[in-house]
Amino acid sequence: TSLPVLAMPAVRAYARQNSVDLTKIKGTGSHGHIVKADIDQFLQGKGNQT
Amino acid sequence: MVVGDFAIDLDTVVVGAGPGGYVAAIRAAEKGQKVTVIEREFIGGVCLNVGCIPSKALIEAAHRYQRAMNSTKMGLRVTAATLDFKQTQAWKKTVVDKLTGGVAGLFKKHKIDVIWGSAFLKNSHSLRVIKRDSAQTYTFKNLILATGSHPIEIPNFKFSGRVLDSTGALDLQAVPKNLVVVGGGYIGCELASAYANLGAHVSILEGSDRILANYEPDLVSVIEHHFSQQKVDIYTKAMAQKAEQNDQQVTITFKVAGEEKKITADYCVVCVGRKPNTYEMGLEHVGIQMDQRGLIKVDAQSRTTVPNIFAIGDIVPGPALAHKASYEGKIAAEAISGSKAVIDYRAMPAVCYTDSAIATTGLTLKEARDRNLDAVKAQFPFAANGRAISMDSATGFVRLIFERSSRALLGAQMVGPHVSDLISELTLAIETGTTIDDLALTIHPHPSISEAVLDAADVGLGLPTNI
Repeated sequence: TSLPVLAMPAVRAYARQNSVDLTKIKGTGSHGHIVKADIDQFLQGKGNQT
Repeated sequence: MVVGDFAIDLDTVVVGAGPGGYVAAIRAAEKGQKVTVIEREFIGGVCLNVGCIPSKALIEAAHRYQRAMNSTKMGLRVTAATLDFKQTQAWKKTVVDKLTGGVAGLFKKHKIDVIWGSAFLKNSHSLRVIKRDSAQTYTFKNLILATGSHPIEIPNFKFSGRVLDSTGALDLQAVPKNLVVVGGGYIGCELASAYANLGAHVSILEGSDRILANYEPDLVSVIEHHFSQQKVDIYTKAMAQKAEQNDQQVTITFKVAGEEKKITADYCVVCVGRKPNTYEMGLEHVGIQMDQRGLIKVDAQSRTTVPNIFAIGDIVPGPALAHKASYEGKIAAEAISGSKAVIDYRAMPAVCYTDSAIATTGLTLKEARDRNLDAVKAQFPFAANGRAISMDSATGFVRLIFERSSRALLGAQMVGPHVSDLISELTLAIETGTTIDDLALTIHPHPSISEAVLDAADVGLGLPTNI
């Protein structure tokens, strides 16, 4: 087991609403946090896959 | 056909108005649903009426009474502190009334109708409500079951007269001289602590080898020390055999290490656990699956095996806590509204309001290591916290559990003053992926109990400044 994905509760909810799997995203926030902008980038198909 | 048995069409129906049900109802209404709540007993459920709220009111009154009498070292000599327990109970009732009235007001605000009665499922889209002197069938589009739980009765301890459940124990009109508490879980220990503070001689009978067995031993030892100061007798590995009562007293027979013992007391409270209210409601007939304990199987949106029926709170797996029920209620209400919301939390706080209190959130060290996480702990005692010392409450400690390399917080356990409020900071920290570095760099006000969190983080970083 590893640590859970680094993302704030509201970011996790945002990902869920947009059917985004957080494990597929590389976080750009502090400590590698996934931030809302990372999800938007991912949705626009601009890469960001790990 | 029974006269008047034309089905009345409803939209979203919530069965039960406890912390799960009433929150679900309000959130569903906020999301635009037309909501009807079916309740058989009281708005606010167990929590507001006979659980969380009245027990905390009694605990607070008991605590103040004790403080009034035992603050001489601060120079406070109260020569004749007296307790008018009838007044205490009357005050407790005003607390309950205010809060249940508040929920009723919120229902009105959100145009939520309440139907009084017991609900029985007929099929996946209709149910029958048995009211005091009539019955009515209703259809529904979506249903949220939030029927809660009730105290478990044990053989030879039938609830009646001087054998009480937790509800009865909260409603005594005089402080008993002697009280026997069967079951040393958090409910039993909270009641024991409150009545000991109110002046009763309390005995706790616990079947396992220690009280508060859900909590780690070093947290519980602080509580055990308080209990010994309060002259509470704790019998562990004690098997309650029977209760025999007359008009005056109740005699409890129990076995410890093969030896039979008897205690005679004014009352006996049985708090050995709670059972889900999932029987005799027709759930199995409509295809709702349950486990052997009667807990309903649900998915991550609180949906049962019948797609338009949801279940939340004490009738589904997980800790039987009001805040868990409310959280699930919101998810279910949002799922019905078409949201993709799911149950997704990393830390579930729990508090035991003994004197001192225990509070926990996230993982223990053992739970973290069982999950193959490289977890370590850092601990800071309230004996080194200026605010705790100034409150004359410098017992207990704060413990942080974090991952060694990332230093991300995984859990926290604490016992001592104000920990029921302190635990929220650490629950937020776990949810947001905070590290102990973040905690250590966050300025905590001085002097405050919350500084123990910063100090524990400093310990974790190997840079303690206050011990």
